[in-house]
This record gives sequence, C-alpha cells and structure tokens, in this order.
Amino acid sequence: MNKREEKIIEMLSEILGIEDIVDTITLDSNLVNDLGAESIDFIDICFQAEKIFKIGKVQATDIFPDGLKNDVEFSEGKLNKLIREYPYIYGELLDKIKSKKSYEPLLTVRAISSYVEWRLANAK
Amino acid sequence: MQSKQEVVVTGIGMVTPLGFEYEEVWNKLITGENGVRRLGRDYEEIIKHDIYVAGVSPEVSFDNFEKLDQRKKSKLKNMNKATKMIIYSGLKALEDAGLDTAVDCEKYNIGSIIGTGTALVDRYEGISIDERNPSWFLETYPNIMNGYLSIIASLKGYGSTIVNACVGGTQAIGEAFKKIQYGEEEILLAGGVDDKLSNIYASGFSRLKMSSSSYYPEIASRPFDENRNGLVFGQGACCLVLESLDCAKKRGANVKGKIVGYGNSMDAESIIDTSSKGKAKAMRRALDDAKLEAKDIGYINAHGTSTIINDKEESLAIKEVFGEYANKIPISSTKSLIGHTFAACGVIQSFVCIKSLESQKVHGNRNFKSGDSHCNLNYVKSAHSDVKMNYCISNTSGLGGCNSSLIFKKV
Repeated sequence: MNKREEKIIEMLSEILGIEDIVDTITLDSNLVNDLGAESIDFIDICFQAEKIFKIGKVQATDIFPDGLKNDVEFSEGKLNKLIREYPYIYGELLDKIKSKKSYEPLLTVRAISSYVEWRLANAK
Repeated sequence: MQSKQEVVVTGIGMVTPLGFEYEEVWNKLITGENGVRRLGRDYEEIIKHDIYVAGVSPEVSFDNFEKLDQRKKSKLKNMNKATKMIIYSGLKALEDAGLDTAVDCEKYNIGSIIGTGTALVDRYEGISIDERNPSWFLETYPNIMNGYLSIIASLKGYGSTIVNACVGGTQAIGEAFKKIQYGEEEILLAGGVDDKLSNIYASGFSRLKMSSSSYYPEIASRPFDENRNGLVFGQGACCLVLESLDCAKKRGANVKGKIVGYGNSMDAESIIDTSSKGKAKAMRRALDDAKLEAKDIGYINAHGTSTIINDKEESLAIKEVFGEYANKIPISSTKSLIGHTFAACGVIQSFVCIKSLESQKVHGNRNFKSGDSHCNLNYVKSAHSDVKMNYCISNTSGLGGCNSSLIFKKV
C-alpha cells in the first residue's frame, strides 16, 4: 500500500468512526456496504480529500457517478461512457470493474485513491 | 371522548455544571454547591465582553454506553458540545427508564421533542464559507441535534424541535405531556439543551445589559437579591422519559414523578422586557389545566434569572396568582446554583420539581441575602428547606415574551 492509499484509509477511519483500520478497511472495501457511509459522509470525504491532498474543489459526483447504487446492469457501452466522463477510471480500478463485470468498484476505497491519483497527476 | 391518561416520568438524564448523575446533582443542589466558575483563558472570546463567570458543563464521554456500537461512539467525537450533551442526556434518560435498546424504542414507537436555542454555528466563526466543511450548513438547522439523537438512540416515533428561547425545554415537556395525556403517544423522550457560551451570544447579552459582569463566581448569580446584576450563562441539557401511567405499570417501570398541568402565554408587550401579566397567565393556565388552586401548590421553582426585570416581574406575578399565600410559599431558582441554561432550564427545573416532591425538600436560593421593594417574598435562604407538599410549579419565560409553566404532583 502506498502513502496516498494509507492517507485515504486514515481519512476514512476518521470520517466513518472506524477504529480498527487493519481488519476493516481495504482498498476493496465498499464505502456503503462494508464501511457504512451515508450521504453526509460522501460530502465529508470530498472535503477532507481537498484538504489533505490539496487538489482543489471536489464534488461527490466528481468521484461517484450519480445513480451508481441503483444501476446494477453492466454493459461495455455504459463502461466506455463512464470512462469518457470519469477519466480517473483506469489501471487497477478499471481491471476490477471489468473482471467483476460490475460498477461496484466505483464505490470502493480504490475509487477514491484512483481519483486522487488522477487529480494530482493532472494538477495545473 | 377518550378519558385523559395520567402522565408520569420514568427516566431522567442530564449534563449540568454540577455533573451528570442526577442523584449526585440533586445532592449538590440541596447542599448549595456552586456550579458557576471563573472562565479561564480558553474563554477569552467571552471574557472580552465583560462576562467572567459561567456554569460550564463538563465534557461528556460515551465510553460507558455499552449498548452503543463503536461506530456510533466514534462519530459522536466530532459533534458540537450541545449535540453531545443532548444525546448523552437522552441516552441516559432512556437507560434510566429501562428503554435503552432499539427494540424497546421500536416497540413503543418512541419519539423525541427537544427544546433548543438558535443555531448560530459559532464554532465555524472566522472560517470563510468556502473553507468550511460543507456539512456546517446542516448545523444551522436547530433540529439537526434531534436528528442525531434519533439516529444514535434509534428513535423512530414522533419528532419535533421547539425553538422558543428559554421556554423551549418547558414546552418540550409540556407538549409531550399533552400528547401522552390525550393518548396520541405512549412514551416520549422530552428534553432541552443549550450552549450559549460563545462570542456571539456573549456580545449580544452583554450589550443588552442582560448578563452579569461579576468577576466572582461565588456570588455572581443571585436571583431576587437586591444586588443582582444580570444572568450568568450556563451550559446544559436534560431529558425526561414521559409515559402514560398505564404503560409504566405494564412495563413495571419505576415512576419518579407525575406531571399534571401545563400553561403558556405570550406577553404581547415587549421583545426584551418580560411582563408579570404574561407570567401570571401561564401559571394560571397551568393551574386550570391541573384543576388546582394556587393554595394547592407547595413550592415554586422560579425562572429567577438574576436580572433586575425578570425577578421583579416574576415576584409580581406570583403575588397576583397566589395572593396572600405568596408571602408564605417557598420560592427558589435553580439558576442561583448553575446559571441560566436557557432552553434547557425548564427541563432541569422539572427534574428539580420531581426530586423536591420526592424528598419533600427544596433547594435554596444561593446568594440571596435580602430582596427589594418588589422582591419581598419567601425566597429560600438556607441551602435547603423541608417542605410538606403535594404539588409544585416550575416557571420559565423567554425573550420574545413567551411564558410557560408546568405543575408536578407527588407520586
């Protein structure tokens, strides 16, 4: 796990009140189903990510596509559209989506990490 | 028409400048222990407004709530003091009533009515709007505290927040009382909370000359005394579990107190200057509601803020309602011991009334030496006094000209 990922997990433990980080939070933890995040927590995640990584303003919809929780039907066409709209979907995150044939990885810790990595790499 | 239900109190929880455990708080009250202290450097923002003392409540810890999961406990850490105080009080009251599980709350469809102050989100003062955590905006809603309380305590029944200055807590109890009395609800958690110890409120009360500028915590709060010079800020929260007597009996709950009367009024005269007429009307309406006469009341837990005008007008109101008997009935103000806890004061006073009836003792008016031409009634001077009584009344009034009184009966 790299420094960025460690910082994200530490940030999530603070926001979501999770003390036992080692056993609870992994890159593949689902923010909602595994870590119990609710709407207000997603706002907090974006705010804290702005501060910790100094990446400028972040909206929840910049990371987490709208309607993701309800849209379970996977298709290559939809994935390609998402990749165009969300350029942080690449590398291991994209591999996970493809192998699982599900958008669920976009609600995991890995998605935040990938987004932060992309923002830092594309900082002006 | 369905017959009215008798309404009893089966649970008490609190955070006050004199502590958390209500038996301990009661013992401190009747021994005259002072809950007001000198403000230190961590309150520089307050001190600059000529406010040097306050009833500061201790920080709460949720570590001892075994039935609360770690996730909820951790989330509580980042909440503001008022939210923590009301959640702590609510959980304690439910625990005291033997209703501290989600299953209990679901079974009785328990909801909560909370009286609280305005939400000025003072803790974000000095941080530009763009730099604030976006969730700061939610804190501007006074009902958010009740929302958090409902989540932590699993309260899924009726919910409401009353923002009505210093009568908010009294009205939370009163409205819950009425809902249970008329059979709309079986059990409700009712409480009040306020924390006005901030730069904004200190500036406001100080500039309106309503707060005491005394440097001495031992003597600053002196309701009805001739040398009173303003209210002393207090932080606090208190919750009561109210339920129908039938329900309490069925559950085998320990009945701690009984509520029998509730009355309200508005002065319709002045926003700041309280009026004896409105106060008298609230007391009369509470007496009518309880189908009692003034002579039935054995003790008055007064609003007694230690301001020149309130204590004068309240004394006049007591004379108006109680007539000759006004000179005899014992009167004391809990604010003389813990300061003015604003929206929470009516609930703390309700607790005081319940304990007074149970122990047949009333606490004294700390710092009352002698009154004046208006404040010339039987304000209890000693730390406590033994009083045989079957009923007592609790008075509160607030900015805007609102008044609210509750009457309690010996169990």
